[in-house]
Amino acid sequence: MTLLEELPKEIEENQFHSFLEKIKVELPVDEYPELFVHYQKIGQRVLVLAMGKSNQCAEQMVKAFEKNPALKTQKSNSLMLRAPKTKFLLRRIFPCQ
Amino acid sequence: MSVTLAMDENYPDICSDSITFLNTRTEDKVSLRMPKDVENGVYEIRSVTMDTGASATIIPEKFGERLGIEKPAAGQREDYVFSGVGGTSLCFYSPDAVAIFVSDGTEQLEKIIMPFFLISYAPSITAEKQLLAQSEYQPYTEEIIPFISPPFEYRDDYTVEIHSPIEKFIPTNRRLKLNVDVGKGMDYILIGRDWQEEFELTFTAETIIIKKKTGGEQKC
Repeated sequence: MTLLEELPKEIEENQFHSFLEKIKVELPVDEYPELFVHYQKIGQRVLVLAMGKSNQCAEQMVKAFEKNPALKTQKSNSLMLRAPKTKFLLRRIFPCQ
Repeated sequence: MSVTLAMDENYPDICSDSITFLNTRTEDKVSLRMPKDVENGVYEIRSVTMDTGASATIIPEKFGERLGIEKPAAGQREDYVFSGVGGTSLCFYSPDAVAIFVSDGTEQLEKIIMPFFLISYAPSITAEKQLLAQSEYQPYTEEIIPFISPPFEYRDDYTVEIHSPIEKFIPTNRRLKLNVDVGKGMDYILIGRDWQEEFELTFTAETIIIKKKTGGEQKC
Protein backbone atom coordinates (compact mmCIF):
# COMPACT_ATOMS: atom_id res chain seq x y z
CA MET A 1 0.00 0.00 0.00
CA THR A 2 1.40 3.39 -0.96
CA LEU A 3 1.55 6.38 1.34
CA LEU A 4 -1.21 8.04 -0.64
CA GLU A 5 -3.46 5.04 -0.17
CA GLU A 6 -2.87 5.04 3.57
CA LEU A 7 -4.22 8.51 4.11
CA PRO A 8 -5.20 9.80 6.56
CA LYS A 9 -2.22 8.37 8.42
CA GLU A 10 -1.42 8.84 12.10
CA ILE A 11 2.19 8.77 13.24
CA GLU A 12 4.18 9.65 16.33
CA GLU A 13 5.29 13.27 16.40
CA ASN A 14 8.95 12.29 16.81
CA GLN A 15 8.70 10.29 13.59
CA PHE A 16 7.20 13.13 11.58
CA HIS A 17 10.46 14.41 10.17
CA SER A 18 11.52 11.01 8.90
CA PHE A 19 8.03 10.51 7.51
CA LEU A 20 8.40 13.71 5.48
CA GLU A 21 11.63 12.33 4.05
CA LYS A 22 9.82 9.13 3.17
CA ILE A 23 7.18 11.16 1.35
CA LYS A 24 9.84 12.88 -0.73
CA VAL A 25 11.19 9.50 -1.80
CA GLU A 26 7.84 7.91 -2.56
CA LEU A 27 6.56 10.94 -4.46
CA PRO A 28 9.44 11.61 -6.90
CA VAL A 29 10.27 15.02 -8.26
CA ASP A 30 9.48 14.20 -11.87
CA GLU A 31 5.93 13.19 -10.98
CA TYR A 32 5.49 15.64 -8.13
CA PRO A 33 7.38 18.81 -8.98
CA GLU A 34 5.31 20.45 -6.29
CA LEU A 35 4.76 18.61 -3.06
CA PHE A 36 2.55 19.70 -0.19
CA VAL A 37 1.68 18.02 3.09
CA HIS A 38 -1.28 18.82 5.32
CA TYR A 39 -1.54 17.52 8.84
CA GLN A 40 -3.06 18.01 12.27
CA LYS A 41 -1.34 17.69 15.61
CA ILE A 42 -3.28 15.61 18.05
CA GLY A 43 -1.42 15.43 21.34
CA GLN A 44 1.88 13.69 20.75
CA ARG A 45 0.74 12.34 17.42
CA VAL A 46 0.47 13.79 13.95
CA LEU A 47 -2.38 12.96 11.63
CA VAL A 48 -1.34 13.38 8.00
CA LEU A 49 -4.44 14.31 6.03
CA ALA A 50 -3.09 14.96 2.58
CA MET A 51 0.02 14.98 0.47
CA GLY A 52 0.96 15.51 -3.13
CA LYS A 53 0.12 18.27 -5.56
CA SER A 54 -1.92 21.17 -4.33
CA ASN A 55 -5.15 20.14 -6.04
CA GLN A 56 -4.71 16.54 -4.88
CA CYS A 57 -4.32 17.75 -1.31
CA ALA A 58 -7.52 19.72 -1.53
CA GLU A 59 -9.45 16.65 -2.61
CA GLN A 60 -7.79 14.41 -0.02
CA MET A 61 -8.62 16.82 2.78
CA VAL A 62 -12.25 16.95 1.80
CA LYS A 63 -12.38 13.14 1.76
CA ALA A 64 -10.72 12.96 5.17
CA PHE A 65 -13.29 15.34 6.62
CA GLU A 66 -16.11 13.36 5.04
CA LYS A 67 -14.79 10.17 6.63
CA ASN A 68 -14.32 11.77 10.00
CA PRO A 69 -16.16 15.10 10.47
CA ALA A 70 -14.66 15.46 13.96
CA LEU A 71 -11.39 16.39 12.27
CA LYS A 72 -12.98 19.65 11.19
CA THR A 73 -12.73 20.93 14.73
CA GLN A 74 -8.94 20.82 14.62
CA LYS A 75 -6.79 23.38 12.86
CA SER A 76 -4.70 22.00 10.05
CA ASN A 77 -1.10 22.82 9.24
CA SER A 78 0.59 22.70 5.88
CA LEU A 79 4.09 22.32 4.53
CA MET A 80 5.48 22.70 1.07
CA LEU A 81 8.17 20.09 0.66
CA ARG A 82 8.97 20.86 -2.92
CA ALA A 83 8.33 23.72 -5.34
CA PRO A 84 9.69 24.02 -8.86
CA LYS A 85 11.11 27.41 -9.60
CA THR A 86 10.17 27.05 -13.21
CA LYS A 87 6.56 26.67 -12.28
CA PHE A 88 5.85 29.44 -9.85
CA LEU A 89 9.08 31.32 -9.88
CA LEU A 90 8.31 30.69 -6.30
CA ARG A 91 10.74 30.72 -3.47
CA ARG A 92 10.28 29.66 0.08
CA ILE A 93 11.05 32.07 2.83
CA PHE A 94 11.70 30.18 6.00
CA PRO A 95 11.72 30.02 8.84
CA CYS A 96 9.26 32.86 9.18
CA GLN A 97 10.13 34.70 12.36
CA MET B 1 -20.45 27.17 -19.46
CA SER B 2 -18.90 30.54 -19.99
CA VAL B 3 -18.52 33.72 -18.05
CA THR B 4 -17.61 36.73 -20.08
CA LEU B 5 -15.25 39.54 -19.30
CA ALA B 6 -16.71 42.88 -20.17
CA MET B 7 -15.16 46.31 -20.07
CA ASP B 8 -16.85 48.56 -17.53
CA GLU B 9 -15.36 52.02 -17.42
CA ASN B 10 -11.69 51.54 -16.56
CA TYR B 11 -11.86 48.02 -15.35
CA PRO B 12 -13.01 44.72 -16.66
CA ASP B 13 -15.58 42.95 -14.58
CA ILE B 14 -16.43 39.34 -14.27
CA CYS B 15 -20.01 38.99 -15.40
CA SER B 16 -21.61 35.94 -13.94
CA ASP B 17 -24.41 35.20 -11.56
CA SER B 18 -22.37 34.36 -8.50
CA ILE B 19 -19.09 33.09 -7.17
CA THR B 20 -19.08 31.26 -3.84
CA PHE B 21 -16.08 30.44 -1.69
CA LEU B 22 -16.45 27.74 0.95
CA ASN B 23 -13.93 26.73 3.60
CA THR B 24 -14.36 22.97 3.52
CA ARG B 25 -13.23 22.58 7.14
CA THR B 26 -14.97 25.42 8.96
CA GLU B 27 -17.78 25.70 6.40
CA ASP B 28 -17.46 29.48 6.39
CA LYS B 29 -18.90 30.68 3.12
CA VAL B 30 -18.83 33.89 1.14
CA SER B 31 -20.96 34.37 -1.92
CA LEU B 32 -20.42 37.23 -4.32
CA ARG B 33 -23.02 38.23 -6.80
CA MET B 34 -21.17 39.52 -9.77
CA PRO B 35 -20.68 42.22 -10.63
CA LYS B 36 -23.03 44.02 -8.20
CA ASP B 37 -21.26 43.15 -4.94
CA VAL B 38 -17.92 43.78 -6.48
CA GLU B 39 -18.90 47.22 -7.73
CA ASN B 40 -20.30 48.08 -4.32
CA GLY B 41 -17.03 47.23 -2.65
CA VAL B 42 -18.58 44.53 -0.50
CA TYR B 43 -15.92 42.39 1.18
CA GLU B 44 -13.32 45.00 0.29
CA ILE B 45 -12.53 43.57 -3.07
CA ARG B 46 -13.48 44.97 -6.41
CA SER B 47 -12.78 41.98 -8.52
CA VAL B 48 -12.07 38.32 -8.12
CA THR B 49 -8.79 37.16 -9.47
CA MET B 50 -8.61 33.81 -11.15
CA ASP B 51 -4.92 33.90 -11.76
CA THR B 52 -3.36 31.55 -14.25
CA GLY B 53 -0.02 33.26 -14.44
CA ALA B 54 1.36 31.82 -11.26
CA SER B 55 -0.56 28.59 -11.75
CA ALA B 56 -2.01 29.09 -8.32
CA THR B 57 -4.91 31.05 -7.00
CA ILE B 58 -4.02 34.01 -4.82
CA ILE B 59 -6.70 35.53 -2.64
CA PRO B 60 -6.40 38.60 -0.39
CA GLU B 61 -5.54 37.75 3.19
CA LYS B 62 -8.46 39.71 4.58
CA PHE B 63 -10.82 37.85 2.33
CA GLY B 64 -9.36 34.65 3.75
CA GLU B 65 -10.33 35.79 7.23
CA ARG B 66 -13.93 35.96 6.06
CA LEU B 67 -13.56 32.31 5.12
CA GLY B 68 -12.32 31.44 8.59
CA ILE B 69 -8.75 31.07 7.42
CA GLU B 70 -6.24 32.52 9.83
CA LYS B 71 -2.70 33.33 8.88
CA PRO B 72 -0.49 30.95 10.88
CA ALA B 73 1.55 32.69 13.54
CA ALA B 74 5.13 33.75 12.87
CA GLY B 75 7.40 30.80 13.32
CA GLN B 76 4.63 28.40 12.44
CA ARG B 77 4.28 29.24 8.81
CA GLU B 78 6.32 29.46 5.66
CA ASP B 79 5.80 32.38 3.36
CA TYR B 80 6.07 32.13 -0.38
CA VAL B 81 7.11 34.66 -2.94
CA PHE B 82 5.56 34.68 -6.38
CA SER B 83 7.53 36.70 -8.85
CA GLY B 84 6.02 37.41 -12.19
CA VAL B 85 6.03 40.05 -14.82
CA GLY B 86 3.35 41.97 -12.97
CA GLY B 87 5.11 42.16 -9.65
CA THR B 88 6.01 40.25 -6.55
CA SER B 89 3.54 38.74 -4.13
CA LEU B 90 4.22 37.49 -0.63
CA CYS B 91 1.74 34.81 0.32
CA PHE B 92 1.01 32.11 2.82
CA TYR B 93 -0.35 28.74 1.82
CA SER B 94 -3.88 27.95 2.90
CA PRO B 95 -4.20 25.51 5.78
CA ASP B 96 -7.71 24.65 4.61
CA ALA B 97 -9.12 23.53 1.30
CA VAL B 98 -11.46 26.02 -0.32
CA ALA B 99 -14.28 25.06 -2.64
CA ILE B 100 -15.13 27.56 -5.35
CA PHE B 101 -18.44 27.54 -7.13
CA VAL B 102 -18.85 29.71 -10.20
CA SER B 103 -22.39 29.99 -11.45
CA ASP B 104 -23.88 31.75 -14.43
CA GLY B 105 -27.41 31.19 -13.18
CA THR B 106 -28.02 27.95 -15.00
CA GLU B 107 -24.82 25.99 -14.65
CA GLN B 108 -22.31 25.71 -11.86
CA LEU B 109 -18.62 24.96 -11.96
CA GLU B 110 -17.15 23.52 -8.77
CA LYS B 111 -13.51 23.13 -7.90
CA ILE B 112 -11.71 22.50 -4.64
CA ILE B 113 -8.39 24.23 -4.37
CA MET B 114 -5.65 25.12 -1.93
CA PRO B 115 -5.20 28.83 -2.50
CA PHE B 116 -2.45 31.13 -1.38
CA PHE B 117 -3.34 34.21 0.62
CA LEU B 118 -1.71 37.48 -0.23
CA ILE B 119 0.16 39.20 2.58
CA SER B 120 1.76 41.94 0.53
CA TYR B 121 2.28 42.88 -3.04
CA ALA B 122 4.77 45.03 -4.90
CA PRO B 123 4.13 45.77 -8.54
CA SER B 124 7.25 45.36 -10.58
CA ILE B 125 7.00 48.76 -12.21
CA THR B 126 7.49 50.57 -8.91
CA ALA B 127 9.29 48.04 -6.77
CA GLU B 128 11.69 46.72 -9.31
CA LYS B 129 11.86 49.52 -11.84
CA GLN B 130 11.72 46.89 -14.51
CA LEU B 131 9.71 44.01 -15.72
CA LEU B 132 10.40 40.66 -14.18
CA ALA B 133 10.55 38.07 -16.89
CA GLN B 134 9.38 34.54 -16.49
CA SER B 135 12.24 32.42 -17.61
CA GLU B 136 10.51 29.66 -19.48
CA TYR B 137 7.24 28.09 -20.31
CA GLN B 138 5.60 26.53 -17.29
CA PRO B 139 4.62 22.99 -18.19
CA TYR B 140 2.92 22.02 -14.97
CA THR B 141 -0.12 24.22 -15.28
CA GLU B 142 -2.11 21.82 -17.41
CA GLU B 143 -4.31 20.56 -14.61
CA ILE B 144 -5.02 23.96 -13.21
CA ILE B 145 -5.57 26.09 -16.29
CA PRO B 146 -8.69 24.23 -17.41
CA PHE B 147 -10.36 25.30 -14.20
CA ILE B 148 -8.92 28.72 -13.76
CA SER B 149 -9.34 29.82 -17.33
CA PRO B 150 -12.69 28.58 -18.58
CA PRO B 151 -14.81 31.18 -16.82
CA PHE B 152 -13.11 33.76 -18.95
CA GLU B 153 -13.75 34.10 -22.60
CA TYR B 154 -10.81 35.31 -24.55
CA ARG B 155 -11.25 38.96 -25.39
CA ASP B 156 -8.84 40.57 -27.74
CA ASP B 157 -9.96 44.08 -26.83
CA TYR B 158 -7.15 45.66 -24.94
CA THR B 159 -3.73 47.10 -25.34
CA VAL B 160 -1.67 48.45 -22.47
CA GLU B 161 0.90 51.15 -22.07
CA ILE B 162 2.64 51.88 -18.78
CA HIS B 163 4.66 55.08 -18.43
CA SER B 164 7.25 56.16 -15.87
CA PRO B 165 8.41 59.76 -15.48
CA ILE B 166 11.79 58.56 -14.26
CA GLU B 167 12.89 55.97 -16.70
CA LYS B 168 11.98 54.79 -20.08
CA PHE B 169 11.91 51.07 -20.39
CA ILE B 170 12.50 49.07 -23.47
CA PRO B 171 9.30 48.32 -25.33
CA THR B 172 8.49 44.68 -25.05
CA ASN B 173 5.80 42.35 -26.17
CA ARG B 174 3.71 40.82 -23.42
CA ARG B 175 0.46 39.03 -23.08
CA LEU B 176 -2.24 40.69 -21.12
CA LYS B 177 -3.99 39.23 -18.14
CA LEU B 178 -6.66 41.19 -16.40
CA ASN B 179 -6.38 41.26 -12.64
CA VAL B 180 -7.48 44.30 -10.73
CA ASP B 181 -7.26 44.98 -7.02
CA VAL B 182 -6.37 42.64 -4.20
CA GLY B 183 -8.28 44.35 -1.44
CA LYS B 184 -5.19 46.16 -0.28
CA GLY B 185 -6.33 49.60 -1.27
CA MET B 186 -4.50 49.52 -4.53
CA ASP B 187 -5.45 48.72 -8.02
CA TYR B 188 -3.06 47.24 -10.45
CA ILE B 189 -2.98 45.48 -13.72
CA LEU B 190 -1.00 42.34 -13.94
CA ILE B 191 0.62 41.81 -17.28
CA GLY B 192 0.53 38.10 -17.74
CA ARG B 193 1.59 35.66 -20.35
CA ASP B 194 -1.60 33.66 -20.57
CA TRP B 195 -3.43 35.45 -23.27
CA GLN B 196 -3.07 34.09 -26.70
CA GLU B 197 -1.90 37.30 -28.29
CA GLU B 198 0.97 39.51 -27.29
CA PHE B 199 0.69 43.24 -26.94
CA GLU B 200 3.45 45.75 -27.18
CA LEU B 201 4.13 47.49 -23.88
CA THR B 202 6.04 50.72 -23.50
CA PHE B 203 7.26 51.66 -20.01
CA THR B 204 7.84 55.38 -19.96
CA ALA B 205 5.73 56.81 -17.12
CA GLU B 206 3.84 55.89 -13.95
CA THR B 207 0.51 56.12 -15.66
CA ILE B 208 -1.08 52.97 -16.89
CA ILE B 209 -3.13 53.42 -19.99
CA ILE B 210 -5.48 50.78 -21.24
CA LYS B 211 -6.54 51.17 -24.79
CA LYS B 212 -9.37 49.27 -26.29
CA LYS B 213 -8.34 48.19 -29.71
CA THR B 214 -11.55 49.38 -31.22
CA GLY B 215 -11.98 52.64 -29.32
CA GLY B 216 -10.46 55.41 -27.27
CA GLU B 217 -8.07 55.11 -24.38
CA GLN B 218 -8.84 55.18 -20.69
CA LYS B 219 -6.38 56.06 -17.95
CA CYS B 220 -6.14 54.11 -14.70
